[in-house]
Amino acid sequence: MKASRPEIYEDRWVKTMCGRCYAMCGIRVHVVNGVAVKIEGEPDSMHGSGGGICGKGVAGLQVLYDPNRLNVPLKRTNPEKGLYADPKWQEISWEEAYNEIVPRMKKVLEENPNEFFFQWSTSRGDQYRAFGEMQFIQAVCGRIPDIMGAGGGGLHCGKAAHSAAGVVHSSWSIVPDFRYCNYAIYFGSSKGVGSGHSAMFSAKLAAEARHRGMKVVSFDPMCNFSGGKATEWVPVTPGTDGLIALSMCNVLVNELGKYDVDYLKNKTNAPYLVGLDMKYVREKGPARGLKISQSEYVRGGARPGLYIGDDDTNKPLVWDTIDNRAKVYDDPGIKEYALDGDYEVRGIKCHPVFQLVKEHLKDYTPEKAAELSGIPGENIRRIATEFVNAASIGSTITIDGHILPFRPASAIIFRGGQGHENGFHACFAVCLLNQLVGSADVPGGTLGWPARSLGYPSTGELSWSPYKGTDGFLETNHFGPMAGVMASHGPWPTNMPENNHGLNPNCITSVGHIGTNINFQSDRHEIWEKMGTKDKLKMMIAWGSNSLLSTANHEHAANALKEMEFIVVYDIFNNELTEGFADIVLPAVCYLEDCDGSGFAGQNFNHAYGMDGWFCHIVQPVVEVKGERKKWQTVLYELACCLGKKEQFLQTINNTLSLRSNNAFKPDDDFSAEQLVDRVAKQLFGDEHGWEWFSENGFIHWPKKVEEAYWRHFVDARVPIYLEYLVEIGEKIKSINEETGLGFDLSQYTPLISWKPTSVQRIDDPRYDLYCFSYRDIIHTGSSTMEQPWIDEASRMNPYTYNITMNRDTAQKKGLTEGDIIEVETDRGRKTQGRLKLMEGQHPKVVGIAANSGHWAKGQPIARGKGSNFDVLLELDQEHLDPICTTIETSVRVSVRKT
Amino acid sequence: MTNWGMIIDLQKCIGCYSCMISCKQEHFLPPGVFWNRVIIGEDGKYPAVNKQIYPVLCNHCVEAACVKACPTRATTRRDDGIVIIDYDKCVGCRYCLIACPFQQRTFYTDGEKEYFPGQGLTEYEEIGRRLYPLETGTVMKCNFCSERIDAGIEKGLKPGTDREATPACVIACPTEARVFGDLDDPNSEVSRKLREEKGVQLHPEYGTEPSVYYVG
Repeated sequence: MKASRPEIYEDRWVKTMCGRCYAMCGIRVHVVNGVAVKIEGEPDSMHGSGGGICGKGVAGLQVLYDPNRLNVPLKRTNPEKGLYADPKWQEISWEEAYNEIVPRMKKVLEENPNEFFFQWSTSRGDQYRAFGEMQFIQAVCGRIPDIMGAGGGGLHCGKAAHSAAGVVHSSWSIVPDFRYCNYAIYFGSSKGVGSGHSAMFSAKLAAEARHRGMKVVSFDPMCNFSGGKATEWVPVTPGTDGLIALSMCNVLVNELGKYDVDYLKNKTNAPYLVGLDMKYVREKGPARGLKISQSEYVRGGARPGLYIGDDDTNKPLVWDTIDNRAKVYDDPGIKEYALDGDYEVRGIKCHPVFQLVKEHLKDYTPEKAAELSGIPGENIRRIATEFVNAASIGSTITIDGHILPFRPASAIIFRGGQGHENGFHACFAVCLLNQLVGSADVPGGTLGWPARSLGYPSTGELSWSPYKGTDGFLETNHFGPMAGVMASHGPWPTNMPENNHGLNPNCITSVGHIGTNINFQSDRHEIWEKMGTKDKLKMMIAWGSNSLLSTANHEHAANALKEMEFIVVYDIFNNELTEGFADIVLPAVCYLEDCDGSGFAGQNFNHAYGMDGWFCHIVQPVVEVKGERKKWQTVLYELACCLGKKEQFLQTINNTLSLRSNNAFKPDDDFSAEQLVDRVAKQLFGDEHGWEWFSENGFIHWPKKVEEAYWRHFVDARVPIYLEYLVEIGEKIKSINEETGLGFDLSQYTPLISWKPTSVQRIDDPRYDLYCFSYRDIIHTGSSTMEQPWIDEASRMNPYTYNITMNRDTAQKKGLTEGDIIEVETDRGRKTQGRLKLMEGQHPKVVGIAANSGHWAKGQPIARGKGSNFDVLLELDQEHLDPICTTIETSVRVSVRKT
Repeated sequence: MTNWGMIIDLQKCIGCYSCMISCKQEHFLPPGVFWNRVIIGEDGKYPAVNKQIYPVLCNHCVEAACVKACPTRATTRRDDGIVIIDYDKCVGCRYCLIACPFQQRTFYTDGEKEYFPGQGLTEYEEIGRRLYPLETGTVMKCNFCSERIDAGIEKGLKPGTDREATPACVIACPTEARVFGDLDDPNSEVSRKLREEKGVQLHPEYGTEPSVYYVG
């Protein structure tokens, strides 16, 4: 029988933002009779694809209406904790929940705030929310504790890529300027093919670029997402990306002799003179080192003003070949920079950086790269030649009356290429490829974004820019009004290592990007003992983060979580973390019930780049909040009040968001999510653009200027092609190693961008003849997307998502056939199982597993039991981290057998 | 005359399943029923491999096999080229299911089937059953969002140009891989793209004259 059509008493569209990945596209949601019935992309905004939306985004309705959502706070009654434990939940009230949490939190904060650990999520890219969470922590702790960070940090995140992008592009990540680019090289990146920062904006632009004829060369173990859309797929084994990039640099510099001389002289440290000690030769003698320590930097939010050079009157020198003498690098009278040659300054024998780099690159022949990567040398040579030719060095383009360098060739790297023990150098190697052809933040080239904003026109707020800092290098005040809340995403200027005897070894391996893995590492106790820390992590709050499944190897994480006395989770579902380890679970709103100003902040995950304009969106509830779910701001505020820190909380918000005059919270003011958005909106965009305006309009837009989009040409600052600061840092870590017995690996603290084989590549046991790696599937984000039935249907329809993939010939040689249930075992005896899918488009030595499958939580019945868990194969210890930036090695060596 | 058709640009498509899921959202389709699908595979031998991503839907064939097979005239081709099913006339004989060479038809049986098994219909599914009623015991498939097109034209909108009057899968596609419009209008974008980029139909050898074309 046909159901009767309902009487329609409500029919409206609500403009908000997607929350299925950190790209957070602008969306509009159709609500009928109080029920959200449709999600579409926002057609009038390029904070997204300008109307389209990906499958994950549409499936958001099944997040909102999942009957497994948490509606009330839960208390664990089973004291037994561990993987697969039954928590025996008891439903409690919010008041009871706070009564459980607050006294414990008070105690730990009074005794030692370092023993309190707060972890948030990266699956939504709302920096603003992370700001809110950090404001809370600052307010209640009085400072930022040693350890905090995003779930999945080091595993899913791009610590190495962010480091290089920060230093070179003043950005979080890099992307080809698809509007103009003609030749793009991808090293383990999905920009433009469905994932990554500004995901759907990139997808739209990359599609247009491919249609226009942009050539894409993708170095990837698998012909699936990036490889599958490339003009040329080049199969690689994991962790060889840096080697390939360096051999291409070698072809450019030493074989073809083609590079952008003007760019190198004026925009990099190529002409800086370096002595035999590998350090810059300076005006007055050796630098004295840093003035500001790591702890001051991290805890106080203060920026270290200076780095290696001790002040601005002891500048690095360059050689002027016309006047035939050394001058400071920014001497206005320099006639011609030397890029090569042997010189002597004050009795010090020295060479320009470029000469050292050029000599060093000779070690990286395409033949050597071929031997280790499996890619024929002539292919590497051909691709390098095509790249430099496409870059059309010397050409210009006129945009809005400005004549700019035109370099329509770009090389990018992200998760796949950077997730290795050699990831830091690999990312700088790819950056070097761009630097050599002058393809950085100019039309057609490799862009960092949004590196520069000259501010919202009528208020001047939201303004930030790269600028010339110490020694002439690029620094940034990014985060504009938010500056000081979060460490800038450099890490630049970097800090001198010091052992602060705390819990976070990042104080020693200080080039590490914000966030840490130490709390889950299997060797944590050994490291803490050697660091001499007396602190112990006692209490954890996980804020929408499945810290267990988003950690490399949940078995290690489980051991660490058991050591904690009390764990609170604020989330929308129960998951492996809550069921195994949480004492209290608080029911969260999902993004369609949420309310915040994510889109206002200096977002580095999701803005449009190039000349596409500025779009700042709000997140607002599309339907009423169900059950006893509470907004995240409300919970933090209420916790702060219970802790007697209301005033500090409001004051921290005022300070960090630069809320002034009427917009600032006064000590007695009430606080709500809407209030917060209203005040920030008015502060940034003027009194007429408060909550009401944004609620109706969804977003604010203004055009972008050439000086913002292609800022490099307009900003007089240099970036390094030689990482001089690593010398000094390496020396300091060496002395800390000697004092403490910590064995931090120093082999990569070399200023010359290099490639070193990973521990995984060095395994020579013939039983472990294959590599296993994981990849980001287009339809999945983090560990949160496996629960939506629509996505599950798509994943089941996909031949690869839930299966373990292997090259067909390889499988035949091993006597394996499609559909076999196989066991994958690492040389360390870690195992996972799954169903075999054979592919032609897979490197013969590599087995692939889509990231983040293999859920077992009862709280997510759709996700449960789907796919194979890759992360359990990983080691999580110092040996398997990039020693410089602590990104996790995300490939393993395995043997495969039929079960 | 109008002849609605679509071109899918395979070079632009990234296989994000937005079309498939947006279609489910638009028509409140129950579990296991797809009016749009994305078929993924590969061809070639290592290392010369091409990933194949084929979004597929009803081809709204000019010489539709399903129309010819339907004994009750439930399936017909409208004057504007859309092949539709009248649920009141469909008796569920499923001849069309066998006749369609593109396997685009589904026999809908279980009206109670919910997306979260054993947990009841969600609010979205419940209102969907009433806003967009589907008939159990009948066959269903993509209707080119005829309800959007018809309502749009009534409002003076142009399908393929105005979002509201254009099929849901077309406006949802983040890479704009789908172009919809009037194949009989030589100036429509779909006709232009078909002409300039030499669109091809799936299995022209079946002689059904699909109105869905592929390029790239």
